[in-house]
Amino acid sequence: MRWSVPALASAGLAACGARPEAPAPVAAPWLEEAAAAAGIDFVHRSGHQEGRFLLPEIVAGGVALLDADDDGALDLYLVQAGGLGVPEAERPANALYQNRGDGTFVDVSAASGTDDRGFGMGVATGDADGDGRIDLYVTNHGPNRLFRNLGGGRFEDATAAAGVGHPGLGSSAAFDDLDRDGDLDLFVVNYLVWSPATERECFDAFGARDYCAPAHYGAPATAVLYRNEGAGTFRDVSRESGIAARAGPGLGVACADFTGDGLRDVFVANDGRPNHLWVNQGELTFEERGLALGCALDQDGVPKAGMGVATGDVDEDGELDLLIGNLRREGDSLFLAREGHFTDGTARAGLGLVTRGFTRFGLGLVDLDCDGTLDLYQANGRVSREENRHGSADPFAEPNLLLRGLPGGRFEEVLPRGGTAALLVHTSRGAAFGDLDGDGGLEVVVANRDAAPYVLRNVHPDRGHWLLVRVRDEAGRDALGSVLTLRAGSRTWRREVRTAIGYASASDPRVHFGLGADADVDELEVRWVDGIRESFQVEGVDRRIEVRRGHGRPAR
Amino acid sequence: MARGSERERRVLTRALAVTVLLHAACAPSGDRAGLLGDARLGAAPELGPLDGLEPEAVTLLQELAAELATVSEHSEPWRELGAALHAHGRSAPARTCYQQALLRAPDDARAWYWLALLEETEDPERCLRLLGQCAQRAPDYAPARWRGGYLLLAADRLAEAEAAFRAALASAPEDEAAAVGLARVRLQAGQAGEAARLLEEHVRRVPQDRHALTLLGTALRELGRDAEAERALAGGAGAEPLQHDPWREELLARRRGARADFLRAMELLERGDVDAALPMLEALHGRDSRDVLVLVALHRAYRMQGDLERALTLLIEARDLEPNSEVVHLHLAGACRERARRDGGAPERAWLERALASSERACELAPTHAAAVAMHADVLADLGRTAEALAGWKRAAELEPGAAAWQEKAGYGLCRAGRWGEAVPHLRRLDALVARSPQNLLTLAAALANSGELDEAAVTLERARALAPGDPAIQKAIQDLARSRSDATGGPR
Repeated sequence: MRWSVPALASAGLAACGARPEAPAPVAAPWLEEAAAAAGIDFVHRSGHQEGRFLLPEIVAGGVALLDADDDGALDLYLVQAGGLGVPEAERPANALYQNRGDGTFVDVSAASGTDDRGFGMGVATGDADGDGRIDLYVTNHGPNRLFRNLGGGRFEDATAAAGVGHPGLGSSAAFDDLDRDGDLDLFVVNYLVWSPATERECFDAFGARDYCAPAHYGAPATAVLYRNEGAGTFRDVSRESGIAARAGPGLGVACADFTGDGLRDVFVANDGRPNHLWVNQGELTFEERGLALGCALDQDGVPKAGMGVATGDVDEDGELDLLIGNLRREGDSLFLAREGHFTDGTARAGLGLVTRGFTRFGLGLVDLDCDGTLDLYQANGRVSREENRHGSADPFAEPNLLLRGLPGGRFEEVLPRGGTAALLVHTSRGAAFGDLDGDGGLEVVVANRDAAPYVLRNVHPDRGHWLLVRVRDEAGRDALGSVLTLRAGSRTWRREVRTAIGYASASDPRVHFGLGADADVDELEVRWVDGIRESFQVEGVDRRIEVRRGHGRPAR
Repeated sequence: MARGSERERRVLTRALAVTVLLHAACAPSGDRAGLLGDARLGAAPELGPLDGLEPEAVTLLQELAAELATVSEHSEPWRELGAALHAHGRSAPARTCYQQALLRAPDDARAWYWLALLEETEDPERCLRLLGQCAQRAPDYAPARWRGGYLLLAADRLAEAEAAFRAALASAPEDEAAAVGLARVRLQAGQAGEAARLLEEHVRRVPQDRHALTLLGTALRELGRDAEAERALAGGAGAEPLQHDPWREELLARRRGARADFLRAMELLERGDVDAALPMLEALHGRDSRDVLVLVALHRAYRMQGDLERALTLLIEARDLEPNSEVVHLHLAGACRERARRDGGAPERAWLERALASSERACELAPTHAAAVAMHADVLADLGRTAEALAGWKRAAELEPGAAAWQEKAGYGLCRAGRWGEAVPHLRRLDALVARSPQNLLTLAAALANSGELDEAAVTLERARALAPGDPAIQKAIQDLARSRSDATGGPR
């Protein structure tokens, strides 16, 4: 029903609510949306029906970039939801698109065996069975699924055999060798203890129906830690590891050695509650130390609505920093690592104000212009209905943000907003990063709720030199968790081998370095998960290389 | 400091802050006219679609718009319509109305302030300039200053932020948000020592500001004072910042509709004003007898008034309407426990069994709902199932480390069971949450001593003695500990 008061005739009627406009941007776009041109015809369906607001609908949406068929080109996996009230067999399925090698794709979902019809939330990638092929782990509302890569782009559902079908409301997940025994364990973050039967009726401040905030349920979930027992099997060690001792509405995850003791830790971003930093005590046991180490709350001492998590050496001091995307009206949380603890560096980095107008989910610290400094891409979309100021009929839609990294660990927004010539406005969720067309520039693929994804081709007009490094262990598997240090001229870069980046998504495991004007690499050092270091010769830049454990020189 | 010079200092500080904010306001695109866009004196705007608003809200907006149409040359009707639109999430027409109000009455500080609030999220730079205009006209309204101060902190403009907080304190020396803001400036500037000093002073002056403890903990951690930091952080867990902003409250009070009424009634209940809340809740119940949230709130109000029978009836109604709400089952368990004890003497078992069934159902529905787990433990304890109760309190304390009640129950219960080592972390956290409790310190010391941590036990007892110097139990404990330590070392006492 529409209500309005007719406008009265007047002379010199004022402009309605006009604000002074910012000067028109003049920079060239960095990114170009090309999903349709690339052959991606996937459309996400949350299943939302007007009048019924089911929580998972508003937080679902992951994407993965992986070389599913081992042909050297990144393929694309998109997670579908499909509707909670719809029988599983009738839901649209997750989709796998095979890269033809030139950044265009063909739908191979049905033939691949990955066309899962669970209510999909997110996806993680890693070589679960150690056979050298990258596998897929899909988090669902309901049992999660592990798809084992059989080679040739074919997968089989290995969930039951592996023992990893946790039936909660999964969000993000990450494969990582947490016990340093040479195989990948699996850390699964759960959001809430939730079912349609326990859904609440919530309203916005003006009385209209809306999604509930996690605090309304009072039912935070515990994460699940699966220890890889070998031969593609896992054991749930959540209780004995200590992970099950604390619950939180977990959405984002990042694994790294955050304390500098050589052991892999796990950071979980919690929505509206203090974040968790699970500090590895050895023997796959963990102690939660987020509050004590300074990454649980922001500098105002307030827990934020943590969603996506990115890691990177933002201030180039050799330590790994944490960046968490939060809710509208909350700036990002940039936690700078400082010798075993963290300090909130959000404001100093220029992220305190520019980000607070948006609700950030997917994000990544990646060097899109290859100038040697990490940039920041944020995929945005609201979780509650508000007046939409971006010209979209979708009350949850927002534009995404692209921020250029500056020396000294600061950021400035790139205009046009989001880095594309035309403003793109959807309810974005997960984002994955990787070089889809082999030209050294990183592309961004963004999952959008109830819409087609963005496939954002990197069209930066003046990209610097680059290097793309595949890091494999002695058995030929991606060495997740290894730390690379690259030196060129007077600069040093630190990057990690990881796939879990951002929110409920997985990126290319190959490590990308933007080198700016540096055309010669002096040294590339790899610190393997067990602490052993090797040094590798790199001949030339602007190329893809592979380093394998045992083929370098021992480094001190 | 002499009063005359104090007054001068305040005037100078205020002048500096106004200058800073004016400078911000006079940034390249920001004079007063620029802040109002290209607005010109005009007539009433279209309200736009009012979909999703409740009938009371629509009626209010239409009435205000109709009134405005008759007196559009005056500023106040514009401001009132703007505030009502703003309160109901209609930003664009609200902005127009504020602009029109300000064109007619440029010195309307509230209108500047509310316009600033409208821009706070979308355009913080503009918000700062608008706050500057407000501060010019209402120099004693502290929130206009500290709100700008927090935006300036987020922008890392520390000198300006400091000036803003000092100006707020000059006119409102007791303002918690400004005091804490000043400490935040020091913290962000890397001056953790000074930040800690300011926060310690503030916490002494305003012990109810637990949020400041979290900031203090952050500062102490930067200084390497890790043990104190952990205690402060634990003490501040879950606390919200204290920010009193009457003009913002005035704005929100313009919301109309059942939702707004419900929120208002809940605020009254939280403040203990049952007499005011009850008729509001009954009216809401009359509008929609199937609203479970209202039923639960109404039950609370009746319980607070002592009418347990009515409260129970309402909860049972709520449970029948929403059998899968752990919140309803949780409250039902609590009400049944209370009913079990109503007549004095031993609790009635039948009511305890009902409480048990409800608490079990709550835990089944939400196994990580800390309050449900704790309630279940309470009921188990009532029924004499002590070991299970203890396990429940421990679990609740793990799930919600910031809840002092469950840390206390877990800690004390474990002590009574002789499980000293397990009790220690709970009692440490309790000490952090409930500072300055000699009894808690005494219990913690006992647990530490029985766990072999004699040195820490001794320090803890000294803290207890400092709080209660003449307490014989503490004195005795100190003597017993000294004897134990001497026996252990074989040395003199």
